[in-house]
Amino acid sequence: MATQTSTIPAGGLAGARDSAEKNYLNESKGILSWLTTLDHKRIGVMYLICILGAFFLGGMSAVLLRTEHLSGTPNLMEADAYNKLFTLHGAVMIFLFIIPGIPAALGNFVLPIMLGAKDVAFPRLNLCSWYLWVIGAVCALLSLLLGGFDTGWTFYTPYSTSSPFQGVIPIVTGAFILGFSSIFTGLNFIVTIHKLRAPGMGWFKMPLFLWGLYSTALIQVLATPVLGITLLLLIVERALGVGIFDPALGGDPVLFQHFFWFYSHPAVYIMIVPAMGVISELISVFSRKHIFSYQFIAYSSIAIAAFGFIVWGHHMFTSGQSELMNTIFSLLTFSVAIPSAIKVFNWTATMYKGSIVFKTPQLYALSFLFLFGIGGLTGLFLATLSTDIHLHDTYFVVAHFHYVMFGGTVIAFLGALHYWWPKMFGKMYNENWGRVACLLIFIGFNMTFFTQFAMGSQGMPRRYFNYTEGYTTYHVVSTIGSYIMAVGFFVIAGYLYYSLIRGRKAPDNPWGGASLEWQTSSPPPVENFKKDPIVGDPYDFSNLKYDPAIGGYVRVDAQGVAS
Amino acid sequence: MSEAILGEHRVGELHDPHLAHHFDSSTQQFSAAKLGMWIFLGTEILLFSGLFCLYAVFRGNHPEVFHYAHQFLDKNWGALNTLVLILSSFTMALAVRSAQTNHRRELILFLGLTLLLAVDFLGIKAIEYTHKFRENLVWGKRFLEDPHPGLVGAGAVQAVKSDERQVSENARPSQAAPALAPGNKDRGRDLFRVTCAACHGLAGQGMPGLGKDMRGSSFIEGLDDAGLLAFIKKGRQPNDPLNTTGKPMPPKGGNPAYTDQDLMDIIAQVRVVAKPKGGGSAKVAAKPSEAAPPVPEEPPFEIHKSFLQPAAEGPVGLAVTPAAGHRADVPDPRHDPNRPANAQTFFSIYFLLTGLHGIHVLIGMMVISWLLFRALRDEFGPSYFTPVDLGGLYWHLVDVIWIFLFPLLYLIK
Ligand code: HEC
Repeated sequence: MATQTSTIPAGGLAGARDSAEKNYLNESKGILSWLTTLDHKRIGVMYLICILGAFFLGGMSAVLLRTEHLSGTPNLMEADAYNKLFTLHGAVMIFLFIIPGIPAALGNFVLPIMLGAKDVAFPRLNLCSWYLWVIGAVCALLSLLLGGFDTGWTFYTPYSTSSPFQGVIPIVTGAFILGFSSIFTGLNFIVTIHKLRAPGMGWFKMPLFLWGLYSTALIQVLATPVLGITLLLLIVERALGVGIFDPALGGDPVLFQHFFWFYSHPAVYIMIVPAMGVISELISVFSRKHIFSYQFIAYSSIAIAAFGFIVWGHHMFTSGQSELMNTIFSLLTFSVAIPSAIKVFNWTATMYKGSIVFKTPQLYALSFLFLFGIGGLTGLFLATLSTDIHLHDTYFVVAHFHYVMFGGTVIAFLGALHYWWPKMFGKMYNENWGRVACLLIFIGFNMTFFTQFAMGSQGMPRRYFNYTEGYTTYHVVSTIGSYIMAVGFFVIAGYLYYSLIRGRKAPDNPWGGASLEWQTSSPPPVENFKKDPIVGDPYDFSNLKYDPAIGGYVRVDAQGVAS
Repeated sequence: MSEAILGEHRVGELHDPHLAHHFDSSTQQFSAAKLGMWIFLGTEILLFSGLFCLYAVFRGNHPEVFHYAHQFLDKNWGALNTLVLILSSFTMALAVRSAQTNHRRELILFLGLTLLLAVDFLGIKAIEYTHKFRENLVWGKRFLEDPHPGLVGAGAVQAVKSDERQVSENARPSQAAPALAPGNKDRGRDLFRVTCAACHGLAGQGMPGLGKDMRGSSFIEGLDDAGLLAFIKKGRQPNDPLNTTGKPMPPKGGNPAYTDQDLMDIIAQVRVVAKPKGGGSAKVAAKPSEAAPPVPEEPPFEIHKSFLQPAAEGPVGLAVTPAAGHRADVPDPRHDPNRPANAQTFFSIYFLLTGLHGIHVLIGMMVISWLLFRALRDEFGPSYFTPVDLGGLYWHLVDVIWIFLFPLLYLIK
């Protein structure tokens, strides 16, 4: 394949000629060269490996939980073990997987390249965030060894300060450290976007993924410190009994909920906003059409980040908040629907009259639209005070946030992984297997969680170990769905792994993307670009032509000649 | 690269060893570093703002707790610490300036001074903390679970011993009262201070609305030690016909843990304070013949001479610090019937805020030491002073946070 790329006419693809030789993957060898690397691409890959490990742990615990629910009587485990397992599932998925997922793993890899920069602004800090992630993950594992914890991932007081399991302090410490990892990543991204854009790349010439990452980074930097202090207070509360949250000592447990959600609600947007950025890229590239109303999508990311800060009270509608507060928070919550809807409509409008290519990443993007639509709209049921009283703490809530977090973020993550996989590793995966896996996950997901809407609205409470007869069918269908999803994930793992060993060599621009990462070789060289990239409109695909000889797109001039 | 030359970073532009490969110019690198630092400072402020928010919520909901408990903080130490920190910020600013103007010796001097002031700050904080711990003015659970309320410091150790003694007393089959040794005045002074002084004042002068003036009391004089012991064990409630003030005298001064021997020790001290001082204005002067051998003119409480002038005499003086630091003008919160519920939350918040701030001071000291180390190796100059600049910013932040802490905790009523 290397010979093939080198037959391209001179200047055909920026940096293409060297692609088979030196790149960031083979520049230096040995585990130590990875552990001490300052290269954002390698750090991104290390993040990717780690978060996929966390995803595996969280996913397996979910499958166990679903298996337990095959019947309403104890099957696999005791109630205590069940409580610990769902707590583990939540904490691992949120703190170790979803929050760092798109920004730290994929964002780290793509962001500087998309900007036309050589690296993020603070490479050392970047490596430091990764190590903090690892330390945080070790703390989480430590807490399992010390007896686990059964508080739910929200660590509500006073239960978390009095729960008999000793794993609480380690996991909370872990989450605190992970918070710093997240802050440092966000800080790095903000500064990089401000200071390291390539000449000619104005704010509105940036790919929308970067707007997503920028908004995410803003939330990370503004909200995570509050989580930090909250968790710190929780630690001293449990260890020393400072009595800030413990009513027995004159503290206020609802205050903990306020503190916690002041971070954790914006954190929901830390999870979803980068996913939205991904979707903006995928939809436009695979519809071969300019993104519809760029500025609205860009600003709506910022708007979501801003609104995200003023809605946290909707987690406490039934916690004894005053009615006035409830009403205000309910109204504000509705407001988040506006920028979200702006995005969805713009994506749809982008596809309108485009020539849609059903490659795997695009299938994920379409799944996203469907699933996120359901997730978002059911959110309105929960934002409405009267219906929330009924639906609160039922499986309806579980289904809602899985539709947003899984159907939104994880699906977008998968789309992004498939989209940038050739760029990251220089290998193509098997497209057909990719489509099959996407279908399996789509079907499995809906089976798992749509049933949960139904049982939730009929009153099945979340986090319950057992249930009564009436819910059996729902639970069984839901569990079968989760198995189908699990199969889908193993298929993905299989063909991605295979692609690394046997995969066809990826061309520089397999999808015809116009953002800068497609102008460099796959995988990119250490310094990202051999030749300065040409900065242009990231959604103008008119001068990209498919070249069957290399299986990818090349840049052509107005006459259709490779330039 | 030459077109990127801007401002004052001209020197070494082309072969600047500090220029990282991914930056085009040191100007760009410097401004990126600065932006990063400002964002980081923002997150630090947000970290603290969680605690400030906590403060606001508790203060809004329980103003009486703050009103009551803030008086136990020593304004003078707090003010001194504020001065120390402001001064250190000033020396830090001078250090940055010296780095920019290539004055290496001054840079080292000012960094050293800043470090020294930081140590001062922590030292003063340590004094305050020690005092708080001795008086058990600590956070929630610890405050409430004080195993020997009213006994602190050295007294606490003795109290534990005396408890053991009581256990062995109770173990004895016969209930025959053990022979009580005459009170130990030194120990009694400590116990009196922590238990009785809240209402009766350190010198037995009586706190308005709380306890009675003991000086020259004929009631006390008219009773022998056994009688006084019986009285103190029983107390005198307002509904008692003998009550003179309408205020309660709690049994054993409010501390049921006291043994008879403890009370005997206290009585020895009561005898000291009940003596009319100098016989001057006392209404009931003790008859000379019955007076105890003349007490040498020593104050009933040891006065710790401060290294600073007393408040009345010096500009930034400290008030007289009684033994172990308990101040005569404030009640002992543990036995104060007027103590509002949950007064301990104030101390929780005090320790949280000052503790977190203290940790930041420590981090700042590490940063400054590292800068000092690099300055000694002559690494900074007009072309490269980013670390000093950023370290300075961090130190100023630590300073600014204290400037908010000081009035919020020590001054606001
Ligand atoms: C809660 C406040 C309070 C505390 C604490 C307290 N007292 Fe009193 N004490 C009083 C009050 C009020 C009176 C006056 C009662 C009355 O009106 O007759 C009093 C009266 C007395 C008297 C009688 C004085 C006289 O002239 O009638 C003695 C002796 C005395 N207290 C000793 C002690 C000792 C010793 C302690 C410490 C173990 C102590 N008290 C702790 C409030 C207190």
